[in-house]
Amino acid sequence: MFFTLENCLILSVILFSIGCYGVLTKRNILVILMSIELMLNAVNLSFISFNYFNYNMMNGEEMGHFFVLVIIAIAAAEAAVGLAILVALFRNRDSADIEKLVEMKW
Amino acid sequence: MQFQAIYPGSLLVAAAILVLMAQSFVKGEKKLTISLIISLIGVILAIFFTFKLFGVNESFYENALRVDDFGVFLSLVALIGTALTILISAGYLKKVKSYYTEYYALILLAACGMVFLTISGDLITFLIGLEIMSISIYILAGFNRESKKSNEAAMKYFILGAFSTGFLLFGMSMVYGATGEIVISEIGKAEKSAGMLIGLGLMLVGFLFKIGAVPFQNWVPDVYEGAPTPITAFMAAGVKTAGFAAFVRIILIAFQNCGEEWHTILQVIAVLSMIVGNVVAISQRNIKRLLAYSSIAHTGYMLLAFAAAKSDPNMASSSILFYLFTYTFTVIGAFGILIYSGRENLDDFAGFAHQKRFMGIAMTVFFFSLAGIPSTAGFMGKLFIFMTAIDQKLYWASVIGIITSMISVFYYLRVVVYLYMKPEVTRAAPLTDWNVAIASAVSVIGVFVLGLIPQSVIQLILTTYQSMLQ
Amino acid sequence: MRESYITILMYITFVLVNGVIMLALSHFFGPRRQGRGKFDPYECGVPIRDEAHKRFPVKFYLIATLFILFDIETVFLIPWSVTYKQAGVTGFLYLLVFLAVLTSGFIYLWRRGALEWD
Repeated sequence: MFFTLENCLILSVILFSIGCYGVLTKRNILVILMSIELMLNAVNLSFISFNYFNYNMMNGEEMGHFFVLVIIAIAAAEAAVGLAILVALFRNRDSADIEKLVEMKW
Repeated sequence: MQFQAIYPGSLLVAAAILVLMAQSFVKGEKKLTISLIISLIGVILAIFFTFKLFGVNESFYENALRVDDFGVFLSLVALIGTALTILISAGYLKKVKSYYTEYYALILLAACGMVFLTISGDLITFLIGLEIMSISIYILAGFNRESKKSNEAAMKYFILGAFSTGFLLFGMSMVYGATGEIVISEIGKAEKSAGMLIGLGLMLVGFLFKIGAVPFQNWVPDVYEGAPTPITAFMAAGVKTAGFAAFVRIILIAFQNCGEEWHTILQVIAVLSMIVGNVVAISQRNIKRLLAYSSIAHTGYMLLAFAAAKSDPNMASSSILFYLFTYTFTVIGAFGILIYSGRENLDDFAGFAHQKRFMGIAMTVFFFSLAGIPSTAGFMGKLFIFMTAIDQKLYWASVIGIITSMISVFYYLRVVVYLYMKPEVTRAAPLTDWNVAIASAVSVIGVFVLGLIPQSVIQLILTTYQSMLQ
Repeated sequence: MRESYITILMYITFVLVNGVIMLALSHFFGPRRQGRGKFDPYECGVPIRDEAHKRFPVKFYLIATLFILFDIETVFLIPWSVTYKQAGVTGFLYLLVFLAVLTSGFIYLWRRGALEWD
């Protein structure tokens, strides 16, 4: 069977790594925000698959699902705040390039 | 009566909503005063109700909240930090002529996050508390919308904060997968397994990011420099307190069966933090940036005590608690005086003590306390930490810690030398604001009380680790 | 279990083959004439007026952000609505507290003028 815990976790780790790579290497802040979302969604996938495969949901063991709901809400709040900060930044310097954030050094 | 556990947090949220309503419905300058009064009352009531939670030691809401002396004590420390921050903010807002009272609402919400973070009993409460706190502080760091530095600080803090939250969450999912539990005390009963160790590693990365320890310290100086000064104080005191509360609780309780590996890792990180923080701070001319590097070093001292938790977790957690308490007073006082004087650069402080005698004395006290000169709170804190570390035979780390804190005396005392012994430069007159003066006075008293008669506080702290286990 | 997916597999194959055949036929047998209208986005539609890569006013971001926030809050309503019989009156009261906090945020937005377009 293709649909197993191992495969779901591998997918989740791959997504998390892609997100991580995006945050560390991309220059556009919007892309970085998207990568962070990707990381959080990878976490969601891993919670859901652990809950689905390992624990009996009918038996009151559905904490993984609650966790995912909370993470979704938190990701939305984080995205909203991130976009707001980005808009303020963009107004002041007309660029969304992370490498131009060099106002302060050492 | 399970409501008593959420009184402090709900009061803070209610005060925040009232402040927002005041901002929406009151016109003109009056709303600044009204918001200040509402938020002070809210925080003081929250402190009162938190105080009444001492000795409760129970879990509420199906283990979602774990009210024990450990959490209550750190809630109190965070709330005292919040009250002092609100006082010094009043002076700051007056100086920059900002009428955005959302500022107070965000501080109150961040304080609510801290309260829930310190008394969290399961990972969901922990996550929600952490995010309420962090998101409020991302916004506060960028509160000077017109300033490029402030924008930049907020963006850096946001990206790295969200990034570290990702790691923390991935670690939590691994722990959940390995144990099927999200209640912290239940996770502690699980056997050591590969999933638990992976989760521990990922969560350590997230935590070390949040508290700004050495490989993950790069954001600290930039964010501390760019954020509005009272928010820098809040980050150094409140966020660090709440972060350490969750850190200690999760590592010592949830991962108590997870072997000895992390002690060594933390010891190395502690040593690196002390060296990097103290050595780089020497070359700083901007005092906010200097205090940022010194905060990395202070994180290092606390992690040193943490590394000693192998055989005596009680002493380790007690010395961290005491250190956080002393550090809160010291660092908020120091930033309060930066606000009062309206300067940031070391050269501008030349002769400041002759201009404003009492503020000069207060600043001297705070910098002595940061340096750990005897009879101040900082000395007792460091003594406690190094005693713990030497008891647990961490000789090398302790020697490095003592040497680096000798180094730190140099740059702290240099500030004091500038205050008294340099010829006076005439700068813009400092603002006279009673709120900042009150905050400084309270901090000076706190520094001396904790430095000279700390016995009763220490007695209280020594029982907190036991309360976590019950 | 796996057998039941065979129809879907057949369907997917059929669609793909069908599409490829259609495209191939028109590619090989269709007439080809280069004209001025050939490279427009809509060959038979309205003529284009300006570039597609335009900057949007920042107001759109504000509204979109607010929409996301209030939209996601339904995440917390769904678990309640699923279990509302077990949750009973207590659950309903907790929900009212939640909605009251949310509404106070909405009032704040309204009074601060975040919802006004101009």
